[in-house]
Amino acid sequence: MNTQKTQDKHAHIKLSGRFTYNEHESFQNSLEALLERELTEVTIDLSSLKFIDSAGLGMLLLMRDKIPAHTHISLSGAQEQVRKILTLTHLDQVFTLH
Amino acid sequence: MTNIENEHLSHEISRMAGILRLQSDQLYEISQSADHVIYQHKNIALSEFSELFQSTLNNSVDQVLLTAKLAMDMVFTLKQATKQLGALESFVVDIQKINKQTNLLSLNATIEAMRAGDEGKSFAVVAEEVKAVSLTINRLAQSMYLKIDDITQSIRKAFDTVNKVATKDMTQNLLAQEKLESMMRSLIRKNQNIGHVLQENAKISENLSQEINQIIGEHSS
Repeated sequence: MNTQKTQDKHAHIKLSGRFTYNEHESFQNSLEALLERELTEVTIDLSSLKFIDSAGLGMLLLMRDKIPAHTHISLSGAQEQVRKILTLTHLDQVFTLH
Repeated sequence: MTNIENEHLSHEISRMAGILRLQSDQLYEISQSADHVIYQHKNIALSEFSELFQSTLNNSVDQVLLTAKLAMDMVFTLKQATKQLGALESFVVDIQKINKQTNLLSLNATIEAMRAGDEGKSFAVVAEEVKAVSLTINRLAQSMYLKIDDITQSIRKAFDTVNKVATKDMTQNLLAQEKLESMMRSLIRKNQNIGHVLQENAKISENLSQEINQIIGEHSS
């Protein structure tokens, strides 16, 4: 999980490879960094993400819970398999999917 | 053909028409029940059953996601607690260091008091008291250190347990929803086809029965 380019109120995060339990430390660090900022928008780029498991989905939901409700979070560029699991689990109703 | 034979034949054909009518009614009845199932002693439409099935699956998915989220939250909380205990442990180490210096100071004070002779006697008492306090602090710090170690061990055990939940990939359970939905759709389609075929057959039997009755009517008049 890499926090790529960031603007004042808008954070861009890129997930690549596999987003599973093994990524929880970098996720926690990124989340803590995000929580220190006053953000209006968080965009998570999933274009390089090949696989997400239930722990990964749990972490995304946790992020939604921890980040203030007024901050909009969107998921962009999900590949077919990832998009399928996001839709099946109705995460497309929690986040905006682009 | 005699009149009696004619009447007999007409009667038999009429009876067959009645059987066809009965068959038609039964086929209609079966076709009507083809799109219903008995669930928990209730006769419900397959469409309603499908909705119920869908809502049960959605509920299972929600539970899997909630478990995953809570497990990850617990992992982060326990990691944070371990980190804070580590900081507490280093505070205790700092207390022990300061205490060691206090102990040395009290020792020096005792030596200086002895050098001062009678005038230093009261100072020697204070130095002894400081040493006693230092020993008490040392014992307390030692107890705190051991207690922190116990708590750290307990947290580590809890962490191992929650790790087992968090690392358990439940993606297959989530994907099973898609398979089950597809199976349900296939079953409903099959039942709808059966119902359709039964209705067609009922219609054919009914038409046949009506045609026979019409022929009998025309023949007898």
